[in-house]
Amino acid sequence: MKIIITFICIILIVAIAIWFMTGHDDQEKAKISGKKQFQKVIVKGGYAPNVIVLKKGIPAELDFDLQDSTACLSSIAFDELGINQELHPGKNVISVPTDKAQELGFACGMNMFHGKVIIK
Amino acid sequence: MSTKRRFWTCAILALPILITMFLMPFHIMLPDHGAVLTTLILIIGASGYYQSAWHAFLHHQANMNSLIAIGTGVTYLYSLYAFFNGKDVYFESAAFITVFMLLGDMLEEKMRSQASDSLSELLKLQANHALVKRDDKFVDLPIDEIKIGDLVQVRPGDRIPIDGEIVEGKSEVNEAAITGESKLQVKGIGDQVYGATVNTTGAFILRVTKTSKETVLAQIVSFVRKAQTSKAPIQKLTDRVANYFVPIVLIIGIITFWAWSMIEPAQALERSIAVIIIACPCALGLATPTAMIVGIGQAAKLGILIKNGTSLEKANNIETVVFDKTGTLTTGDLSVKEVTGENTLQVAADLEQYSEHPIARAILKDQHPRPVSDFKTVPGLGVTAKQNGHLLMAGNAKFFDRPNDDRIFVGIDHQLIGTIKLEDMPKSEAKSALAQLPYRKVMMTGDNERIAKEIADSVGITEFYANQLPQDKAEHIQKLSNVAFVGDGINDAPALSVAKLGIVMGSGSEIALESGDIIITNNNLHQIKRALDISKRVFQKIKLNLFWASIYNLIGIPIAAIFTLSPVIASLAMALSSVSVVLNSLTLKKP
Repeated sequence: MKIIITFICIILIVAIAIWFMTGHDDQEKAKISGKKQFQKVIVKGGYAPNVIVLKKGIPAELDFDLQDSTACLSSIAFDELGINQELHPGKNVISVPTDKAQELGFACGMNMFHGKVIIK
Repeated sequence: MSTKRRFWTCAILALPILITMFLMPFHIMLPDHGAVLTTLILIIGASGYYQSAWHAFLHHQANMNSLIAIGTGVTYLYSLYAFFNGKDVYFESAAFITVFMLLGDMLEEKMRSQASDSLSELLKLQANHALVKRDDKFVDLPIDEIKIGDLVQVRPGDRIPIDGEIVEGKSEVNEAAITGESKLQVKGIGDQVYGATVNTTGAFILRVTKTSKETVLAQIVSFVRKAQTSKAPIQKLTDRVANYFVPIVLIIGIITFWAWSMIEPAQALERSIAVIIIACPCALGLATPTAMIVGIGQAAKLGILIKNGTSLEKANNIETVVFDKTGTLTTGDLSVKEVTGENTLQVAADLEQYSEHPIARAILKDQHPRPVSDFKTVPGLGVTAKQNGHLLMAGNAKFFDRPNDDRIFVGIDHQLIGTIKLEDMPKSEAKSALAQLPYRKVMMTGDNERIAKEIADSVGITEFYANQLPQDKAEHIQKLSNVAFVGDGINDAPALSVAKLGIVMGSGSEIALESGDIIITNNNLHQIKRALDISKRVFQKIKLNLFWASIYNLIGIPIAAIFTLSPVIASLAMALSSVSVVLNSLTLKKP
């Protein structure tokens, strides 16, 4: 009995270690259409993609498509831009200034999920 | 269902379980209800945590809800198994853990809404209507319909509805809403007045200079809102820790389970659940934001605008304060100090009557200029004009072939008739305000040595640098350590960029809002000490909060793993740590 427990525990520990270490960023480049660039981010259990690459100098619009019902993901915050707003189910368009080459982080209301915007 | 409703519903559902616990020593048993009640409690109260934890898990991430989900989930599932197999059940654990977690969440929500109250208080000061001139009458219109250039009537006792320039009438205005200072400001024709400030006994008409969305008040609100949502660097650190924290705690929980199952299997489940619950870093997530929201909101009420969390941290380590002279230590207004010769001021006034230059303003004060014609500027030297066949002249020493001198020379027909000495007076509160600052104080100015020394002496500064170009100021600042630079923001760009902390004194102008870490809206030098003190207090509060938040975890984990700690007590401790962080932050509201 004890051996079984030990065995299960070890497997669990290894599984946890591996699973949580192998998270990877889902990166996408925004599509340029006319004078603006766009990227849709699906908000469901997190952000997909969670890394968005924008081209400097072209006005950018991010569409956060809210498909999740939990409290945290229903609001989004871009600290460096001072944006902190409620998301409505479905389409939510947020403009991101691209005049400077920089990385801007964003997170859900309670800071449990993160993403970033890379402007270059 | 709101968090508040969820909490109270689950609390009531948990009541029978609580009563049973108290009745047990008396051997009074209520019919078996644990399973049913707990199931309800978990569905109503804990479903949000499970969903969040599951979605995070799918993304290879774990958050605080993961711990709650696993803790209550494992307890519940095991209890179901135990229930149908005649073993000891632990339903009350899952139930109470949920209730206490909801309590913590409810308090956090309450706090966030209380904090944004200081902002909504500011917004309430915005008027909804105003008396606007349309055709030939003043009519009552909603604020959004007012355009730049409109004329608005302000009566005695009214709250000024929008930013504008007085074109008729005069009064005294209480600008505390914007600057935090209630000393009445005299306002006359040509003066700026701001929306949300209170007019006292006079009446006037103003010409609108900003739309309702662009007023100083609106800008301050947006500024404070940004500041409150910003993150202090210390919080970014706690966020990163949280990411690794949860999987590590889960592993510790499993190890605890394993260890106890080797020694005393009956305890194993309870021990490991207790570890997982007590490790929940919920309060850590509250520590910084709560203190910042309350602190920054309070400071804003006093007319001190702190840009963001980073500014707060920087203000904590200041050792040296460098002051710009003109406009910061001095009033920025030149006044006539000494005049030589007869008629000098009159002639100078005649020449300066059309100029907007501060020199002109000082000369023209209390003077009645006579008409002149043919006004000419001689670049780098001075100005001339004709009057009754004579040539009036005024300018610098070079204009009159005199050795270098900072007075204004005045002459008629190339003959010198007199000189005027203009000077910039130190602000009346400067000396006492500076005496209160326990830092090394330095003054820098572009003016010459003599003027610099006079001002430095009158405000009590011993270390000063004169004849400084903006780059020179920056160079000197770099040689000093932990510098807070105080200026009026307009031409301080190089200095502000190298100083550790930029403090801009001004009336909330756009320039100031862009360039400073801390903006003092009422130009009173006493506010500098206040601003630095508030920042220090908030930062200390943040550190204290982090301490309270983590002490429960740090002591709790070993106790839970090694000794006896019921999971219920563990969750109570978690709720308590959230409560103590929130209460601690709210104490910042006291002066």
